[in-house]
Amino acid sequence: MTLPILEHVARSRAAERCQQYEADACRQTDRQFAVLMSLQWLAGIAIALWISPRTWVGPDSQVHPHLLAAVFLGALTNLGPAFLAVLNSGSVLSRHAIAVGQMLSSSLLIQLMGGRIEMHFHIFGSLAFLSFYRDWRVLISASMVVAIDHLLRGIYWPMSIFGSSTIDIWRAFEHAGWVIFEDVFLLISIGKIRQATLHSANHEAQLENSNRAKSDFLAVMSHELRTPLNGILGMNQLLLNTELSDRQRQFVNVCSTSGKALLHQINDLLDLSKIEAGKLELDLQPCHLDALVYDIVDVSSQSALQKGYPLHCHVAPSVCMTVMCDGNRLRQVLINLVGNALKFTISGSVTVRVECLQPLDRQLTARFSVTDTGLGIPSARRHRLFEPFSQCDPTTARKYGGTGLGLSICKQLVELMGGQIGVESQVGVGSRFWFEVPLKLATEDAASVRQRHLLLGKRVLVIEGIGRERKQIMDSLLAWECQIHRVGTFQKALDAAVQSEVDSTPFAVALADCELVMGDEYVLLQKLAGHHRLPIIGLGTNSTDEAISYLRQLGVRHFLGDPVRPSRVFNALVSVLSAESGRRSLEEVVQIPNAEQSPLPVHVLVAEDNRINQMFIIELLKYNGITCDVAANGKEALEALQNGPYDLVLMDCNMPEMDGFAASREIRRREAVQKLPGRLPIIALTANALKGDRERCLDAGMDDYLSKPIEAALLQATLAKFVNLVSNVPLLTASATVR
Amino acid sequence: MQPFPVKAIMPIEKCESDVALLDERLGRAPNRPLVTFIGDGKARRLDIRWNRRWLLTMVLVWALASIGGFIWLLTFTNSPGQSGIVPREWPASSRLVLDSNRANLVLMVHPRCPCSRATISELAEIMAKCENAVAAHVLWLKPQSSSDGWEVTDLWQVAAAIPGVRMLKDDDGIEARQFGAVTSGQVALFDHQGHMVFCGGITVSRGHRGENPGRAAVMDWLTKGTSSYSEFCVFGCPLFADRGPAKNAKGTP
Repeated sequence: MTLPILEHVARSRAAERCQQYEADACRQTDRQFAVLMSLQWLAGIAIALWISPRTWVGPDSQVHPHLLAAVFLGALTNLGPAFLAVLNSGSVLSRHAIAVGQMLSSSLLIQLMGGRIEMHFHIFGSLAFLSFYRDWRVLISASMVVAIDHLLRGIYWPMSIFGSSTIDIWRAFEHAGWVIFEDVFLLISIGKIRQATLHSANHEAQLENSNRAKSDFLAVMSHELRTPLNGILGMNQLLLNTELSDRQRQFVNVCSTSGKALLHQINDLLDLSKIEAGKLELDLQPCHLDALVYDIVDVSSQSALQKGYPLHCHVAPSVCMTVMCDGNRLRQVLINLVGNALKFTISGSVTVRVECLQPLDRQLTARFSVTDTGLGIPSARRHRLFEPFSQCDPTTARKYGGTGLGLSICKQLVELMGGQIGVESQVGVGSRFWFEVPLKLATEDAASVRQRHLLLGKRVLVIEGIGRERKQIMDSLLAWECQIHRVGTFQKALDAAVQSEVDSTPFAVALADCELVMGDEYVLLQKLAGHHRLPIIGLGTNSTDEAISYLRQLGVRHFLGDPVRPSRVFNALVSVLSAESGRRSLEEVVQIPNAEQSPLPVHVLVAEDNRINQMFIIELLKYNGITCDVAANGKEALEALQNGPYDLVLMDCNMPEMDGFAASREIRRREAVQKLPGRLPIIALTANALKGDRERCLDAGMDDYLSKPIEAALLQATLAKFVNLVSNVPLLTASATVR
Repeated sequence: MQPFPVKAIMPIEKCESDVALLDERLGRAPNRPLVTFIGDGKARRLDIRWNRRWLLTMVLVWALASIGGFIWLLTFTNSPGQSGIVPREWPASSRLVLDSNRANLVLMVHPRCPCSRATISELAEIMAKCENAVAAHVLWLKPQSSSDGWEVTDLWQVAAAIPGVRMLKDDDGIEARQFGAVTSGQVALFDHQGHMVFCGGITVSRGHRGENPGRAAVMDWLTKGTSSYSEFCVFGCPLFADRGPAKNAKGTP
């Protein structure tokens, strides 16, 4: 849209908004007057009862006409307009009736009060109240009633106005003057209020325009940038799966890395724009905190290893639970902080710690901290750290890269979550970035409660060498109220097992550091597992498959690689104890992987208009042994569905002729009227990542959501949710949650 | 009973689109109907075309009724009571003693007349300015059939607080009849020689305070010794059921 058109649109929206405000003000004032006039009626009756209840003739009395006037005439002048105001609130007729009625009511009250001069202030107060309508014509109506009243009285009852039987013209002017005096100021006031309202409406319309422009920009940029990037990264992925020379592979890897870095920057920029436009909303979902933190540590530990120092992680057992939070945003903040720590640390260590502050009944405050032994931050620069496009040092960008957006986004995200973020640092020593967020506990299901009870009081034999203690596991076992018995060697473990049998307090399970197993200790391990029938869970720093397989033969049921997560230990323990007690084991079980399963044919319909994206998706599907047909728009997709059976549809949201949303709605409609069989899983492919996109996909009848650029592993995982890659039968018939 | 003649009653399901169509045909912006009646188990709406006309008619009737009501009220408020025939000379048989050094004012009041509240207020104004120039007597009617203390009302208390005013209980209105009063609020002003110089009321209308010829006449007599008014109408309740001899509107018996 051109600027003049935008301005015209903004002005007309402002005018509409202004009218809306004034209409609301009129309705509200109508209601207020309805209440006031009802009270005035009652007040008039009270006044008449107090001052002039009866009229007398000698010893006899009867009801005074003033009381009759208060009841009946008062009802007419007060309740009539009040009734109209309630039923026809906001209309022009109502407010003029109110104005006339209010003036007549003033006149009646003055009569009932015996003409007291103080009662005349009711007229002026009423005029002021009538100005709330912000309609100057209402004041004219009211003033006309006063004028006509004085005119008629002046002619027929001059004494009631002037105190004499002759009309005093100057006094008439004086009376009129006071009313006009007040009217003038009220009119000026109405004018100013209306101007201010229009100005405010203009401002809001401009803001709305600006926000709409921002939203359009975000949508366009999101789509326009991500779509070609999807092509670049996707093709790179496919290229990497072909035969390449070392040199070619190196070039392609560099291309991928650069593309991902570019994507990261685009995401940061879009996030910042979203936050500033107020478009960012948290997506609260149940989230395992320890799993989230350990996922990040797992990925980041490789970078730390390459640099030659360890990445430690400790998650307090009190935080190892499921909470309601936006896992993606929390992950984003942590990845940023850990990434910075690794970037600016040359040697030493990086530690990620999660603690629980202020635990309450159904919520807690979690404190996340990332401590490094890096360069440190001078105190003079700390205040700029969390500002956008600001780095600690101007040379930082040259030496370490980055745009200075990361910490600013972290701050905004943490504040959006209701928390706070900060840093402690000393140059040459290191830094600690921390943030605290309040989190609500997710409702624990019955299965989780049962699992927790399963571990209560169980005796656990822990076999760990001196100096190799895993504090995280110890803390977790204590938190689960297990009884721990620690030994340093397998011989001692065997002795402890024998003794426990003698004491009739056998161990339920053993956790063994498999790094200790060498030489004769293999035999001891086998004896522990076989003779004493003690279920053993192995712990160790990523052993080879052969080693794991051998341990399995010796009797180790589960193997958990370092860093060992509390959640995995928990699941392993529950799995072992459930199996021992004959109960059904967990679905999510940490098992030593079996041989790979070969996929069976699945036929998918791909609705995508972009040729490059088509190529990429077809190659990905082929790689997974999935056949597919391609449609260039929603219409072609519908035609294809009529002609052939498909197991799943990958639906691009933005397509010409008929977009993905319309096509999905049409598919669901046809399923409802039995024109298509069953319920076809539909996965949305979209380049947009804005607020409302998830809801739009769900509303259109889609089952899941993949954001471009599409990652191969993510596509495979999503497909596996709906289509059993080892059989042709779809796993889910109800719609799954859109991620 | 349906108070409004209804052009067409439509079932509520059809209402929305039909109403919009009607508005379009009539070339009007959509208007909310006045009321929604519930009848026959279905909500119905009135035809919009009739609402505005009836609204305006209602408003007009309301306005006329209000004006009529006010005319009735003002007529009552501004209609005086009967004026009694006040003797030209101080009644010799009166229990009240004429003060020969100054003017004498006699006010006859029904203790329960609400309109006389304004009369007492006007008396207070007069006494505030002319206390020394006048001997004021207020006669309080006490009907024969009334109980003890019947005449001692809040009005009595207010009058008793006015400096320079003598309060007298007038059993069965004997004194009031001597002074020719038939309406509460009647004032008779006599000079120091006992000649009547003014008779009538001192309020502008029933129960209303404010400038009025009666009060102005009394003030003029007391301060200047002369006035352009010698009588004025009295606004108040009748003192006696039988009313006694009274003047007509022109002031003649």
